[in-house]
Amino acid sequence: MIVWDVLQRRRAGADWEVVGGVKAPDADFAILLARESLFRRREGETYAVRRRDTEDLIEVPDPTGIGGVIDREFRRMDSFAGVGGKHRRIHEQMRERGLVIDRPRPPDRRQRRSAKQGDAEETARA
Amino acid sequence: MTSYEERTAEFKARIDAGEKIEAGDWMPDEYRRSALKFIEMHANSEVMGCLPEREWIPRAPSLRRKLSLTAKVQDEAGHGQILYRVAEDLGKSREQMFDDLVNGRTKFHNVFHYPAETWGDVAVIGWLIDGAALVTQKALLDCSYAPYVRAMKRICAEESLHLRHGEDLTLELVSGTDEQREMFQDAVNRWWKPIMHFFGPPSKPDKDVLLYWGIKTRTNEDLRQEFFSTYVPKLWDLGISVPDSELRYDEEAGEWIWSDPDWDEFWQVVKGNGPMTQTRLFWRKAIWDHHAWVRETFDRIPAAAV
Repeated sequence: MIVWDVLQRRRAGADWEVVGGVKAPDADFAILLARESLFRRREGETYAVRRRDTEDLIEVPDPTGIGGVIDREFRRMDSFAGVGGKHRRIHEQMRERGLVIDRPRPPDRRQRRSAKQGDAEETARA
Repeated sequence: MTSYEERTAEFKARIDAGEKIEAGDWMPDEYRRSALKFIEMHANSEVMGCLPEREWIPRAPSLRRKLSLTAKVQDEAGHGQILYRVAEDLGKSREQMFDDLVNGRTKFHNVFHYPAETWGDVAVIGWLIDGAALVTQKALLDCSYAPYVRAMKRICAEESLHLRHGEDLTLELVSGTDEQREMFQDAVNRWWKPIMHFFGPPSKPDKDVLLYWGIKTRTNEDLRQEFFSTYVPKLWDLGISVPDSELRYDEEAGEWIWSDPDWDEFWQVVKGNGPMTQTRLFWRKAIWDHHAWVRETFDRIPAAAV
């Protein structure tokens, strides 16, 4: 079985970049396997395969098929938009019910960021 | 002529300078062996990790949850395929790797040797176990082996989606009925020790060959501490406790104190003596055998002319 490198172009005019590889008997199969394993979520503008240790790129004939019919809502990050907000709302509900476990914890990301900003401002003033 | 030792020293200097190694580059035997073993174990874990969640696809409580879980299981199988391809370039065939897996000659992550008893377990797997995996996998984005880094970029992006899926399931259970909250709490209680084991015993940086070669870039303990900092406060915010009476954040030291779990159980499990090891390997072998015709058909297709 032949090893094929799989290359992706993120945007029109961008350089090709290697994103992985597949093993397939010919280019058609390589393009099919690459789509199923590396381009299920409309990643990039188009992709191509290249037989390992050769130079010739074989581009996917129809890049509009990337992602295809399986690109449904449960496959996209935006389908879970609002989970962070939901977490905060439920946290508040739990606080009202007296269920939150209040113990020392490390500063969260926001606190760490504002502490860093404070340090930077202090340094600038000094 | 350059000696093997000299080439090895040059290779190590490349890694220490932050260079990435490609599949076609010369590499010392120890590097190849270590990278192969590590990536093969990761690939094994991805395909074995499909099984506990797969059991819940027919029993998912709604169509949306069923579709979401199915998509996640498909992603995990896809990660296995991507990683086996990376491992193959290090000198072992996919067939041999599968044969070794189903016959118990190679390992897979400890957490996939345990049963998934309730829908609460599905939430814990999706949020906390995938969260633990994401902590370790993000650290691999700095790995010295370039094909593995490329694979991890894709895998981390998909795992972030899985994490959201798991957090969403968790929020639904903890804000639901008392029974649903109890179901989730019970799942956390049962899974906490396997999650602690997941990061492995505290490692000694000077004795860890994976750290030496830059295949891993952070110690087990460092990763476990990051997991605590990310997830324990979130669990507490939801009123969910953690079954470790010693677990606390030491503000002065800036680190979490936790009780050592039973490492004998960890070693037993990873050696193939976990509660579900044999059942899961039986299923994996059955699926492998059932689909043999696909591989045989593929093998009969003549290779393209040069």
